[in-house]
Amino acid sequence: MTSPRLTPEPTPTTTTSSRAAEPTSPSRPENAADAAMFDAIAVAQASIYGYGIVSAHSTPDLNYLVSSSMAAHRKEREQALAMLQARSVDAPLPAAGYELPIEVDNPTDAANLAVRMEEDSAVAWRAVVEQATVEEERAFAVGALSDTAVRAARWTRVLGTTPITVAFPGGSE
Amino acid sequence: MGVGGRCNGKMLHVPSPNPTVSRRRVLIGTAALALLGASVAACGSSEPPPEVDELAAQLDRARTDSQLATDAAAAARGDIVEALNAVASERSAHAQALIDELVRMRGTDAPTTTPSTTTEAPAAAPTVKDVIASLTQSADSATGLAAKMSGYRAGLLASIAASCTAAYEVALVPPGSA
Repeated sequence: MTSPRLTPEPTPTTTTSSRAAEPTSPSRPENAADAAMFDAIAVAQASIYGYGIVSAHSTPDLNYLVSSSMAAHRKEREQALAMLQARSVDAPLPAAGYELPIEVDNPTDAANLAVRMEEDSAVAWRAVVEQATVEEERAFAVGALSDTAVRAARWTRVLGTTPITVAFPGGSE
Repeated sequence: MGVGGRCNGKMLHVPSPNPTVSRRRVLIGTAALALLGASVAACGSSEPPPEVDELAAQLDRARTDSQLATDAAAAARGDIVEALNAVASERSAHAQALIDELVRMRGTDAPTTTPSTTTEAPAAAPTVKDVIASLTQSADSATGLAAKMSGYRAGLLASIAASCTAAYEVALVPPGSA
């Protein structure tokens, strides 16, 4: 749908001595439902990182939106982690650093990055909805998809473009 | 946008959980029945999946919301007009996607066309509040159904629910209060 997401950087951006034994992230599960949840967790981790960048470049009047957005991704990640853990599936670890899909130098770039991350999140949650085999998990992902669409609308309004909503968040219809 | 026929303030009142049966509902109900009938005839003894009825109800809601937003836009002034038109267009796109899925479920032919225009006397135009209330119910309904269904249908309904939610929580609420 959109361009490249935040991708984990191949090498850590910071090199501290404690990173000598960098843990390797578990590999993506084979089971489709687990894999979708695994991906959604990875996208949430990238978004939490990305909102740090958004925060650095946003104007102070948007602090409320930055912090509520980041808090939402953190909460969703925790819930998704618990669901994978309940099935004894290993979750991805956050990367040491992420490559941004766009250069972020000012408040407009920051809002664009936020919209991009919400779009990526929508794709990830929709995949969880489609692959889930348990109603409880599907319901959780349906809620997460709506929440991400609401955040995407708020950030699009910040950009001043219209319309601020899309017909199929996370979908390609 | 290609939103169905005008019906001049027909669906004034936001559909309640147990709405009185409107003419449109009857029309759509009939369409759904025709659709079921065709399916039964085509497949002999095989029963149509129960999802057909549930998706047809979602289609009904999408068309109703689209018309409601169109009527509200016609009566509104200012920035909200654009937002209402966007809602009308999105709900119309939802209707089309639901039709496409109903066609896939049933096999070949398309479900019956959009409800015909009515000739009821025009009443007071719907307001943004009416649209918000209707979208809130549509979002709830699609959210519940998405969790119950699976695969692509669940995904489609989840996206529809997300779109309705973003519309009533953000797009139709003036900046500053959202």
